Amino acid sequence: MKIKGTMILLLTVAVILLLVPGSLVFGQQKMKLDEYKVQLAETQKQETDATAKIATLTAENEGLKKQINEIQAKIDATWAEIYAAVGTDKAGVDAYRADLNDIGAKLDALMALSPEELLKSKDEVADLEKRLQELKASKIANLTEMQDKIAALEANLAALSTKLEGINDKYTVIKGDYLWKIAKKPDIYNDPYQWIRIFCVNRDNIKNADLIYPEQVLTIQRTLAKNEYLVRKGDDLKKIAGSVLGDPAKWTKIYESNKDVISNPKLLYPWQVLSVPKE
Amino acid sequence: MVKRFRSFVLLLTVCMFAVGVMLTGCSRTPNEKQMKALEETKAAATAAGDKVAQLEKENAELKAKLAEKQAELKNVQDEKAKVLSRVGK
Repeated sequence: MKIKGTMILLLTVAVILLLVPGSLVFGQQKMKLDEYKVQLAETQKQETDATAKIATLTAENEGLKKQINEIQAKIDATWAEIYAAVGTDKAGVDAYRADLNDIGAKLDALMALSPEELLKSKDEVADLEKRLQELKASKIANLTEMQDKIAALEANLAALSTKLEGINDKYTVIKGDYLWKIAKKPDIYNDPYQWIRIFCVNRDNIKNADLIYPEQVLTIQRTLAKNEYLVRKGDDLKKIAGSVLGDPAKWTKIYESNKDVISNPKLLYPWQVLSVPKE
Repeated sequence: MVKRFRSFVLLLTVCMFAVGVMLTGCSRTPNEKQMKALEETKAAATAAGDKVAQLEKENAELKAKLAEKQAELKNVQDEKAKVLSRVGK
């Protein structure tokens, strides 16, 4: 009897489990028809609204593109009128701009030269100044862009001229100077290793390279005289004699003439200035 | 006692069955075809939304470019006036 009761109870539980709908277990996942209809209507409205906006935006964007093209055409036409007013066309203006840029690049390169190299390039500076004046005389110089460029180039030329004028062949020693420091100055050699050059050129004036005095006036060599030779890296007396006297065996002649700056004939320093004896 | 228990079990079974039928059978749900249609509509709405965003971005860019071109035109017109006055026309 007890077993029969238990069986009925188990059977009842099984029936309940069979009948309890999935919706009670997973109840929140399945959509009802009413909800479906609401969601469908909302989605359709979203799509309709977006489609309408697409049409509006597409038309607006097309209008904007058209306006931009019209303005660009006006810009191009105005430029053509400007070019005509200065007697040229776009290609002519481009060529003029390239000329100015070329002068600018060359001036920059000259500004970077050492004083000595700049002195050698003095003619080039004059040529550039002449070219700039010629370009300035053109009608194209009336364009604002070109006026600005020309003004900048003239400022660079003025700076270069000032630099050229400032390059002296004399230097007055001030307190705290030493040959290395003087040679390093941008308006002297811009290279401290050329201190020996100052020493050699002023050998009558400087007895000890480590001892110079305020107010002492030193000669700064800018160009070599015919009877002078500037020692370069890798030089030796035989090589120099071969080069300047035509015979390496005559190296002793050079040594004899420069005994005051050559302590050891096998030891030469770059930037030493040697006097070349007459054959 | 056993008889009362049987009656209780029977009543409980009938009640659960009724509740089950009410919760499942009586509430209607969309069929597979309707759900597919909803998904397609959602996808179309999303695609349209993306297109709107893309067009709005393009619109903003075009407006900026238009303003830039208008300023450029004004500058060129000013330049023309200056150049004409410089060359004496």
